[in-house]
Amino acid sequence: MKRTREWVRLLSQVSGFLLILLLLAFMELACRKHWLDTVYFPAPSRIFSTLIHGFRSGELWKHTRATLLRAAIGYGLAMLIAVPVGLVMGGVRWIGSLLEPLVDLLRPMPSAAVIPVAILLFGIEDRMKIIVIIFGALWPTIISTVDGIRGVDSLLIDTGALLQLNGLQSLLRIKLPATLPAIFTGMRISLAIALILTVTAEMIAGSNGLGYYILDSERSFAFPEMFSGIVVVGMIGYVVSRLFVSIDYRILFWYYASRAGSRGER
Amino acid sequence: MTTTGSGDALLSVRKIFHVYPTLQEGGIRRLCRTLQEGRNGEQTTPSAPAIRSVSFEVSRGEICSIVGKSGSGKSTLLRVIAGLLRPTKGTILLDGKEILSPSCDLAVVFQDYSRSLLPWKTVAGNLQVGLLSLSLGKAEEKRRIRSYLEIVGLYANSNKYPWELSGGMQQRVAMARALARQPKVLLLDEPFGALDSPTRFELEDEMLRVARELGITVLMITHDIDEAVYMSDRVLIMAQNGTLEALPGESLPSSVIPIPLGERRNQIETRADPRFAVCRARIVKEMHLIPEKDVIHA
Repeated sequence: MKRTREWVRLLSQVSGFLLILLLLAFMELACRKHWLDTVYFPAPSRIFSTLIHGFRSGELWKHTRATLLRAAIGYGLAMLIAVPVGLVMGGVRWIGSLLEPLVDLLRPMPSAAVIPVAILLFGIEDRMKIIVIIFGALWPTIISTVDGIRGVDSLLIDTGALLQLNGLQSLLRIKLPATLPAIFTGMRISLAIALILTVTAEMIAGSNGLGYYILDSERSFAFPEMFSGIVVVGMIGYVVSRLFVSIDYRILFWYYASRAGSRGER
Repeated sequence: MTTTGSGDALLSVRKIFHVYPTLQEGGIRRLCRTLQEGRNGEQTTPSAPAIRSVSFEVSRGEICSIVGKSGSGKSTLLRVIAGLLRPTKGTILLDGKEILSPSCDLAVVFQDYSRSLLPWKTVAGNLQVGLLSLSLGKAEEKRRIRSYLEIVGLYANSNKYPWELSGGMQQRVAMARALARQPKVLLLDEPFGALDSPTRFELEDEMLRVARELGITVLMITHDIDEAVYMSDRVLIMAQNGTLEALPGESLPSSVIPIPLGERRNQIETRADPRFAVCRARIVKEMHLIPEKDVIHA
């Protein structure tokens, strides 16, 4: 009885991965039995070997590196702009009132729609792509930071005032750490958007990057290559978001711990 | 200095009157405020003053409590005395100097320790942030953190985070953080209200011991009558309309209740002392907590 229960628990823990394996196995079977047209839908094993070959020859690696570099620069710059802008907008009332309508206007615009404008203004090379990434990734972090700093507990701010912290000390020692959980939430959404926009921008213009590789493979009927590019993009998304979560836990341990504590889950 | 204070008064509160600002302003300021309030969805109707007239003094080394029902303006008064809020009228002198903003001579311990301690700092880190503005230098800072954590019995927990500690211990950290600044006056805002009653008793005694040992002047604002009597040398009663006139005139005002229980107190004997009951009864009567007809005169 006890053994069965342990088995059930183990199974439920790995069930997500099992489902993925099962789907892959089913696709493999469907391809081998020719239920699917293998010209358009190559078997997972075929995609996997193409992937390995692509990395060995350096071709896929080159595009992966280009995509990662672009996404990192665009995302990094966007965060360097968004966090201070958010802090100032949330912290200084008149600047908030000044910029908020503009942010509300620009934010809902699908970022891919600005790519044509960006091409007109900045050409088709890296500069344009990075600007598009920055434009798209900016908003969630700005909005989240503004909300975060406005929501800092008034008692905490009073405490800072009573301890006679000056403006900078109060910002760095109290307001910024208290806003950090909100900033991280925004940064996580921005990260996903940055990755999407990197690939999209590469598909529309340019001569390298995974977006380019996927679209180029499709146009030259190299479907296993196309799928291997898609798999790499998916893996990047997965690894990067996992990495983000683990950094988030490491820095905001106090936030998760104190929240769990106040709910009596300690 | 003009002699507005009398005797050995350390803290002197004179004719405080406070109304929260309303829309009775003109021009651009009024427009801004209207826009702001529209945005935040808050509305301030022309309100009655939160504090009508408060005057009292606290002597050096005294432990004094102000009791009042909720809505009597206690919280506003606390913010005014702490220097977080400028009163509409009136002055507050601490050792002869007017309080206009938070000062290093006055420290506050709030009821809500879980919100006033910094969860991203350790216990020692919380004390260290408290000492930042005093620019003490590393060695003195370290020495003070150690000695004040020892006073509240938490030195062994220096490297723990507040959320790893029990409620009572967290409030001790808040007390240590306030005391480490070596203020002349300690202002307590319902300091034990969020604690369970055994912890509460323990911390009341701890606070009394520390205050007497360090010779600190304490002003406690509370709605707990028993706690006020147990802790204080004198209890002041704030009336429901935001009035407290407690300056000694020709006769002692009825809003001032001296507590003749001496300096040494303990939870069993002090609370069982007949004088404790008498003081408590006087306060209850003065606060009009029960209708006059129900008061049985002995």
